[in-house]
Amino acid sequence: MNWILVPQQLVNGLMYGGTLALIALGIVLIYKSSEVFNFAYGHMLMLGAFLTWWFAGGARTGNEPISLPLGWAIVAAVLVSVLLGFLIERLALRPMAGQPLLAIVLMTLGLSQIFEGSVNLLFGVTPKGNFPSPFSPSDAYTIPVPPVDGESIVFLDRIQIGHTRLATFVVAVVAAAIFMLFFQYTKIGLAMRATSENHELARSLGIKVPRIFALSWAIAGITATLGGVLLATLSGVSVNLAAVALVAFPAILLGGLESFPGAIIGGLLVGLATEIVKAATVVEVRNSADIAPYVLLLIFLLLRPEGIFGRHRIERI
Amino acid sequence: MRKSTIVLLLTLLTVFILTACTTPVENVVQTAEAVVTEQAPAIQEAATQVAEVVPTAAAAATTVAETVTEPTEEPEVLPPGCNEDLTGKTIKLHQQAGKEGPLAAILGQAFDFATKDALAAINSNGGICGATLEVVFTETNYAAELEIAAYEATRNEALIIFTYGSAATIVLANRLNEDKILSFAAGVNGPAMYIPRDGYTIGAVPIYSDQFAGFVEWLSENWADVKPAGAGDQIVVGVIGWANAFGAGATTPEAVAYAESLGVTVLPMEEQALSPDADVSGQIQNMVIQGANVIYNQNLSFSVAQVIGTVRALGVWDSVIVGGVNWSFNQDVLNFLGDNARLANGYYGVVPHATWQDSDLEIVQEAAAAFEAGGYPAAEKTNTYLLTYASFFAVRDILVHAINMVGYDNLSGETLLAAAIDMGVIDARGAYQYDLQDQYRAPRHARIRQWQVQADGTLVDVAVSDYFELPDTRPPAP
Amino acid sequence: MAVLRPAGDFDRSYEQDMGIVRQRWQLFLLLGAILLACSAAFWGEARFVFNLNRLAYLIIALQGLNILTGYTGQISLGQAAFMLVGGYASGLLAIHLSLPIYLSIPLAALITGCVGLLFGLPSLRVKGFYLAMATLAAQFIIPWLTRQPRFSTWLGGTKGFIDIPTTFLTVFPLLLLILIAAGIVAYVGWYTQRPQFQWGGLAVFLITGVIYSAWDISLRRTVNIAGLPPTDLFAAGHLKAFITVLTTGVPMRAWIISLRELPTYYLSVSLITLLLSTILTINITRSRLGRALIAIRDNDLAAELLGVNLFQYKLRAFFIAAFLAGVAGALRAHSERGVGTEFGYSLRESILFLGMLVIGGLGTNLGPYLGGAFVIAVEDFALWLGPELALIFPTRSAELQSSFRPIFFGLVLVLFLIFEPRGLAHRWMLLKASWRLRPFAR
Repeated sequence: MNWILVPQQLVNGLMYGGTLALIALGIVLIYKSSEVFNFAYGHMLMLGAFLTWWFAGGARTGNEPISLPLGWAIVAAVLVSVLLGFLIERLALRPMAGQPLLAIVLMTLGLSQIFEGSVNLLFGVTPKGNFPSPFSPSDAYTIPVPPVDGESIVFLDRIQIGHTRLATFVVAVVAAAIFMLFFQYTKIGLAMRATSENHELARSLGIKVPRIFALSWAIAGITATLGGVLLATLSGVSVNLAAVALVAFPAILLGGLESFPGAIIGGLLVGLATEIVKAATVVEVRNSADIAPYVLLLIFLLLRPEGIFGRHRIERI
Repeated sequence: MRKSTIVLLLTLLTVFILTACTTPVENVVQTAEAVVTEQAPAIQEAATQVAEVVPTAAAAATTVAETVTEPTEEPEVLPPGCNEDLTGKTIKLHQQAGKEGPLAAILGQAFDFATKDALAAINSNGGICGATLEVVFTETNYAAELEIAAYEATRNEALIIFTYGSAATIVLANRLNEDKILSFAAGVNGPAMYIPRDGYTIGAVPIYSDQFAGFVEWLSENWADVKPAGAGDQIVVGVIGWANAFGAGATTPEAVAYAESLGVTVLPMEEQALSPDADVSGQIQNMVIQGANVIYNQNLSFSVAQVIGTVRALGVWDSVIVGGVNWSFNQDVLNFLGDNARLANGYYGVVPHATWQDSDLEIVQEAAAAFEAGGYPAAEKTNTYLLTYASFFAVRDILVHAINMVGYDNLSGETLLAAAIDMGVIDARGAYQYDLQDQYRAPRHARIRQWQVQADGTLVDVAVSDYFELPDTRPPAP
Repeated sequence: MAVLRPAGDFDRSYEQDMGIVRQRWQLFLLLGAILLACSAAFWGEARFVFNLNRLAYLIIALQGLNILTGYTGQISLGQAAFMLVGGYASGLLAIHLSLPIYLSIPLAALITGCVGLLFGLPSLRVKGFYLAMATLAAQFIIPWLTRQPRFSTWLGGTKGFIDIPTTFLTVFPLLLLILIAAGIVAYVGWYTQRPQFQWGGLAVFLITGVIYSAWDISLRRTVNIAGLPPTDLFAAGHLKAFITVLTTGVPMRAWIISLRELPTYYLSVSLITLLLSTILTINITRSRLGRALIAIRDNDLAAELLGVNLFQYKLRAFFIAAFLAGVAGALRAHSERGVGTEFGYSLRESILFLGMLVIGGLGTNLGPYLGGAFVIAVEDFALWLGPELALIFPTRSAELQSSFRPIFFGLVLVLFLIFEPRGLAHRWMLLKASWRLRPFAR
């Protein structure tokens, strides 16, 4: 372990973990209300980013009908995503009620393929570097750090936090906080929690369960778009953005599948694990950053399969 | 029932024997050892046959020259440079690449635009001795499985196949050699092209290990002039590359050995995830901590932009030299940096071909005009477009030379390769040169270019060296 | 769907009742189909032959996945990674130990099966989504391991692939004839329940087999594969040559063929392997093992109460799935002449497998065939449609050429899940029933 690098990587991991946590929250939300593992979430996120880019006039062909400032573009993209969320729930997932897990997982995988093709068809295949980001990739805050062992190499006297990454982290944390408050204190949020506990009981209390399902997909559309925009400010828009959801799944399992705080902690853990290995002295370990989340996942599956905050399920015949 | 099962079993055996065990009578040999001993003469014979082709080819070339100088002897008007008029005929070439899938999203479609424009230019200027040049495209996603499928579907009629990914070069190399089909590859993988030496894959750019060794050589010769402030005399190169065959292409054992023979240290390669949201700060920091004062990029597109952005953000841009393979020195990197393109100021690239800045070259002017006329998005005005555009003129020259050597009816991958070897150096109208001398299969010369901010604030690639011969880091022949 | 039989079609013995091929016309149909498929190189286009070969090994991988996912109900997102293991194992055995493919493929499958067991271990404690995640981890970790520079001499390191040389066939007529004869005697002995034939035949078969493969391997070590001239299979004179070798009365003659005409050769190998794997999976699913797996799928707690050892049977399912994936991967590696992450074996393929299975029909023996063929057909159609549409709308050509493969796959999958969740196999059963019941309503 290259200890001199650890503080910087800790911060990097935290920043990355924030984004992962926001993505994980969106997936957990849908799972809690309707017991659907949304493998299409990464693609919803990518679609949200592409929509924002398009509404902001990123296509720059000269005759695009709409060219909004970033803020309004995000709002427009969120509206479209919410609509899309409703549609997915109504057309694709409601007919699947009562089907086994595999069928539902495959349904979301099928949806993800449709999204991928549609994005190619609508926006073209080349990645777009001109996402209207308010920050430059080189802008960074620095936190001075006293030199280690009396010596300091160029950048090691400070911790760097890119503006983009910090903004991403802050937005993710704020969004997560709003999420929790929403579920704790609003009537709809409580209704959603009730639905996730027991569909029939919720229905008997006058909660319209199908409406709750639709609502949870709509909210997932919002968080997906938000996550997509955050990632796009970091790296531009491309079809490959969808891959980030695959890293969010280990985060969800680590946290415990049904718990919002779990999703956040899991996201941060996975983010940290991915970045910390980069401080290793052995090059093979450094190059394992891609699979670090899955190694962590396997360890958890063997030691504590229900996750940190998960409940052990009791099954009956 | 019992009978029928036995019938089934016997039929199966027959099918197996029929399909699997068939060979020409000549291959029947008394013992296994005989095969081993019989091989050697056969190979020698083949070698002499090849050797014989070359002088006759040269003879053919001289006769061509004669006919051209004395047009009065020929009552029929022949296309310039040809001794056969092929008007009305079609020469079909094949192209396999991806317009969809994750890699296509990165590599873009400039090759497609350039192909169409180059074909239009060639065909409106007389084609190949009057014949129309045609290119058939097959979609492969850059997936190896589909590259093979596309190849299998076209191999019976293909003369020349253009491929655009390292995976395609790797999976097709052996097949191309056996079927004797010429291939022009943009993904230049050393082992695939040079093992065995007489292969049929021709690279559009120097193999990546040559480029890397060339960059190191140039650095060690000019270190005093280019070294960053505060750097010592010891050159330490850190390489960051994609985690695949392309990324591993630079730091081959031969290239590393060459660098070490110059007294340059090469650190083990740091892998970069092939993803737009990869974070490379860990890799860069590790390289710098290990004393790297040169960072070499074996990647392209957004990955280069990530490295540039991260090196800038870490504040070490001025204490290291950042450069990379020719594909990393391309317009799409600047597209990714967008409004921050100036961050790339000072980035070096090994560039084996002309760029859009060489506007005194006729081919560059012509390509620029074609690009304007095509109305393509400005982002696609990359070196890839120019390179692809020029390559078709080199292919035209090879075809014409082969037609003059052996005639239109005898065109095959074998005769085309013989013609190309006979030509030795094939000049793509000054844009770059294919080099097939000394069993080479790829260009061997490159310039070092650098992105420099001009007075008006634009970023322009400037040649900081002349064309120089790259070191030979081909993998050893088996 | 009860099995409907015409009047007068009775079973008179247990063997007849259990027969897979029950009628004479079925037998002839099957033989005809096998001959037709094996001879595809004579009448089919190159692309068709290639796709047929690809389909054959895909179906083998799907059959494995079907045992695990369709019959046992354990979702696996790692089938492509297990194929990678099989491909590497078979390739390495062929390169370093000079094993012929009839030895390297089964050995590679066993190795892959053991790797599958390793990743099946979490199935003791977790299921459903958790298990899907464990196999997803396999899908990421296995390809990563193969790319490690530390193993570069074996697995190719960062460059991500190794070349597998084309193989060649050796024929030793005397031994081959003894082998075939002994095999038939053993089979007849087993069928007629005469132990002396059965065990004698088997013993001769095994001894000859060992001698044959030892001779084969030693030959492979001395002959330079790259130096063998390429052989155009099915060219004139091949059959004659073979018969000459078999019949000239010089029984010790060896016959070596370099196999460069690969699609043809591997098509026959893949199809024969496919036949064997089909028989294997059919027999698994209608035996005790298959019934136990179905019980686990339908309700694991109930199955456990009925005396099914959950852990043991789940592991068996994992082993079979990985075993067949290993066979498929080995076939693929040899016919692609190389193996490694550069050749694919990605998560996308694992997802494709699951999709194919659902479209074909989960938990049916026909499912892998129908699903695999249907999806490959749809993909080829999409690859054809894009460029055609691009000709009509040249301004959008880039987008049109690029989008239809994922859209079509996704759409087909979604529509099947909504309207025919039991897949094409179920539709086929309905079709057959309505044909038998005509002119009456279903």
